[in-house]
Amino acid sequence: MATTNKELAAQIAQLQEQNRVMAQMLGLSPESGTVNETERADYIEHGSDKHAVFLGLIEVLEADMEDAKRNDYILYESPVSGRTWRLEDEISPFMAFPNPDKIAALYLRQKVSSLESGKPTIPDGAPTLLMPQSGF
Amino acid sequence: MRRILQKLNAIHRERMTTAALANPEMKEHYAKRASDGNDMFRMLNEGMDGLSHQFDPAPLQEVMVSADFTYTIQEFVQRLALEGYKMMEFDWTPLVKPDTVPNYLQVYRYQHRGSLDDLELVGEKERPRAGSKGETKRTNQVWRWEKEYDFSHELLVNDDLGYFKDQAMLMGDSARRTLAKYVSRFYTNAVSIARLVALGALYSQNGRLTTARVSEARMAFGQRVDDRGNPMEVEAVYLVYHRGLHDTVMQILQSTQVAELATNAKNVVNFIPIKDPYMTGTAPNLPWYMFADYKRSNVIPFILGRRQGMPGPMILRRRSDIESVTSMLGSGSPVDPIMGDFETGNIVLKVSDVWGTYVDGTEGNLFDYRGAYYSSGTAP
Repeated sequence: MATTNKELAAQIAQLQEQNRVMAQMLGLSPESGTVNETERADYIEHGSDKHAVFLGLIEVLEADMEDAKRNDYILYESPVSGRTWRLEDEISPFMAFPNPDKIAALYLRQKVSSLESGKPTIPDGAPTLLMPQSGF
Repeated sequence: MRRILQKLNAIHRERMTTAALANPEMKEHYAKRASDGNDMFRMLNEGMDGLSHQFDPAPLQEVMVSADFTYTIQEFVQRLALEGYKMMEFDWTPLVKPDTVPNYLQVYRYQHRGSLDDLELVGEKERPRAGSKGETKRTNQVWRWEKEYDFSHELLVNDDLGYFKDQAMLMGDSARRTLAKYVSRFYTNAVSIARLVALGALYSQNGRLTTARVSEARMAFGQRVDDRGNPMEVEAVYLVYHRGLHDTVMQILQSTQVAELATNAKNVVNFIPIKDPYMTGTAPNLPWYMFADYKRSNVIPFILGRRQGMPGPMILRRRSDIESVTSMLGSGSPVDPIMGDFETGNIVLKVSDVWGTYVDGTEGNLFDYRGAYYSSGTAP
């Protein structure tokens, strides 16, 4: 039996978690809005390894650097993180260009920037949500 | 021309008079030259009038010109009302699914957003487990949006320019513009953006608008799943962008070679551009969004509710409470609306419309976030 509000809140959180696990075990699907985003099947965290895979980027580690250079991969060292990246596929997307290496390098740089810029921020000037209860 | 010649003649005469005073012995000579100059001016003056060149010894009379009547002639008054500015259009209709509600109360919309369970292997004499079915409930509600304008009787009578003639049309325009801004706010508001950001890299990014980023957005749509984790058929169709990105969008659309993933030749960036004039941003950090087409995929990014019987804005005028009579107790007849009301002569108009949408503290206005993608446009 909870004696303080804090304990009561902890018990409610525990029950909610048990309820969620139970629902998952039974195959019940709660409303999408209540699902924890990070547990969604299509959740990819910004800047994560999964995000890099999604973007078709491969990190070139120090140990692989010689090999990468020997294979003439187009490399890009991020000025933000210092990590070096290469494209998973340097061929097919750029075949039609007269100077594929140059385009691939630009493409690689943009992808790394997308990866390393992290979670998008909400612009300062973003308007608030119009809630009729609080008036427009 | 006449005035110039007249002035030149006067100068010539003045010079001859001065010279005659300085040299009295040559007075006759200078008088002759002054007279010749005068004759020459008369000849030119008459020539301009189409008259024959007959020398008249009579002195030239003072000519009255418009400059002598500064106020009565030279001040010409013309007043004209010019066309107003052309405003930028926002074609928002493909982004929102129209919905009709019966009244001002909240209504509910249900949608299957998760497929049924997969089948399970069942052993001998074993009973299958019960399947389940999920559903999603969304609300919709409409509200009244209005603006009132009042004019004095005198103002409208004095309006000889017709400055207020198109007032009703402008009021209709303001209603349409307000609705366009309202729709723009569906996705630019902080809660809707926060929702997409929280959903991860398949729903948001920071990159500036380039072909590579459009490609990322399209790939992200291609990897979305329903409530049960099954792949969905949903596509990024509409690119909604800040007006500062217009040239960039046109370049992307017109380029024949685009570095799309897993393609190698043709431009496959077949999105439909929509310029949102109400989206804010400071160059070069200009936001852009991609949305699904609800007609193709049933993934509805936004919903716009309208009340039944009220499909568009209405311009309303308060009926005049005046009637014209010939005797105090005789019957009256209606008067022209420009007479306004009995007490003050005011003419009152208002524009009214009814619309609304789904509003939620977590989802923002995103009826279905699976149909939306956001980029802050900050990363180079």
